[in-house]
Amino acid sequence: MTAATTELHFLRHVPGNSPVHRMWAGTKLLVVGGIGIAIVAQPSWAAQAVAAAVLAAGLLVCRVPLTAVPRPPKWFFYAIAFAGFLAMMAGGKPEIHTSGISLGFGGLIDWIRFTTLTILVLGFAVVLGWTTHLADLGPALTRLFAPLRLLRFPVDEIVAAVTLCVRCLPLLVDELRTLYAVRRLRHPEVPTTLREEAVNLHDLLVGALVSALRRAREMADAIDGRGGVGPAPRLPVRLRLPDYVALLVTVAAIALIVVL
Amino acid sequence: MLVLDSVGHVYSAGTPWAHRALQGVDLRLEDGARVIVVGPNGSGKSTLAWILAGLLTPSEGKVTLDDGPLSIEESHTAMAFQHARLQLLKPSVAEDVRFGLDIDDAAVDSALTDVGLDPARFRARRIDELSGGEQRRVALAGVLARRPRVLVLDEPLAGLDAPSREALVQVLGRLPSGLTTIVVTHDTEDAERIADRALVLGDGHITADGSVVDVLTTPVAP
Repeated sequence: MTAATTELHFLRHVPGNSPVHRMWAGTKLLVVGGIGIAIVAQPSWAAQAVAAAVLAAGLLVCRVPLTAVPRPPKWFFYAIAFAGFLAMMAGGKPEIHTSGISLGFGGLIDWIRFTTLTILVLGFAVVLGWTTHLADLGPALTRLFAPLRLLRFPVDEIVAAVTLCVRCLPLLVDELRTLYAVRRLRHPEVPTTLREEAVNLHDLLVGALVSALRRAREMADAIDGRGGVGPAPRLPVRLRLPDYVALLVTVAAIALIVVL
Repeated sequence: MLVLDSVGHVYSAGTPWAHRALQGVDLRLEDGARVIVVGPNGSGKSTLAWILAGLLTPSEGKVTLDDGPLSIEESHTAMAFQHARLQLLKPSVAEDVRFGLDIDDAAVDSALTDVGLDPARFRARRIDELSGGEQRRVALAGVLARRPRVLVLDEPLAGLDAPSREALVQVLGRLPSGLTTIVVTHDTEDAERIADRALVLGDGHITADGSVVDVLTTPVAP
């Protein structure tokens, strides 16, 4: 018997009734988008500390158990560590000179800073996924993108594309799981050379591509059959106290990130 | 003999999404047994199929084949999935049947003949030119060419038109006699032609086990 397949839960809703769960999905998108853009534009340590504080507050308030935290496979951590090693080898200031050896830590520090930045952005996305039903994203995006209609942006089509992508994620995961299982069953020998690895990856990617194209065509036919995408639903927005608090905290955090 | 001893499985154990799919499944399948597994959606059929195919380690109990571990690596098991296109990893029929195996043209032709496809017509055909039923039979040919001891078929008849369905039922009816075959399906129309024994799963348990005629004609209690 072989090992169990790894189940990776990312952007999966955790039922709950915390203030973060009760917030409008649009508020959460604004928080994630606003702080995400701010720290990417200014990825200083101080800015990241502000974002981390907001994320920590969100994690405390949403009351999602720690067991929900995604557990990536070991190779993911090895890859991250390898990237850190490469960054350290790149050198750069500050440098330490000892026993005739010169070590430059500039690359390593930059790597740490961008790794923590990535973790923060993913952390915000994870909290959004834990506390928001995927079905709530479409109506929220319609509201948030509404001003773009004045500039003749195809808002309905953009929202339909985004919501279809999000809704197709579970399908994609399921099909990749099947593809991987097929590959294991029909060619169980573990690739031992780089060439075999490349062929293995090629087989899986071609299969995934063909499958994705087929799904896309079927979905397009289904949408056509129902008379096209149509306007996205414009549900009424009821902001509550948690929404106002979150928006205030976000504005304050962005201001701090800009000032610091 | 394929044996499942107190097998249970919990997906995402230890997370907020943990859910039990199977519990306390005891099963003994003699070599060459032909079994159909039915049950409503969410009853644990697919989980059982993945366990029997060696793709999933159950979180409880154990699975053995002749007292040894069930192994994909030693070609004890094979599985044909509902979506045939996902199983066809090479561009042409012959290449796909040969995939992962060291077999000659005669063996490829033999596998195609076993699934009712004329090798002269199909050997060089491109996968994407095949109908859904033909793709499913090519996928089955690739699986049978490995000479597995246990074959699991997930919804093999779903979505086929009447001629394709009849062709596939005939193929399933004449699979090698020593091959243990487990067909997981909602479709019981041709159950007697493809299986001798039927299992009914409900809420992760086996709720009925017996001959196809007895089990599938027994009224279910409300």
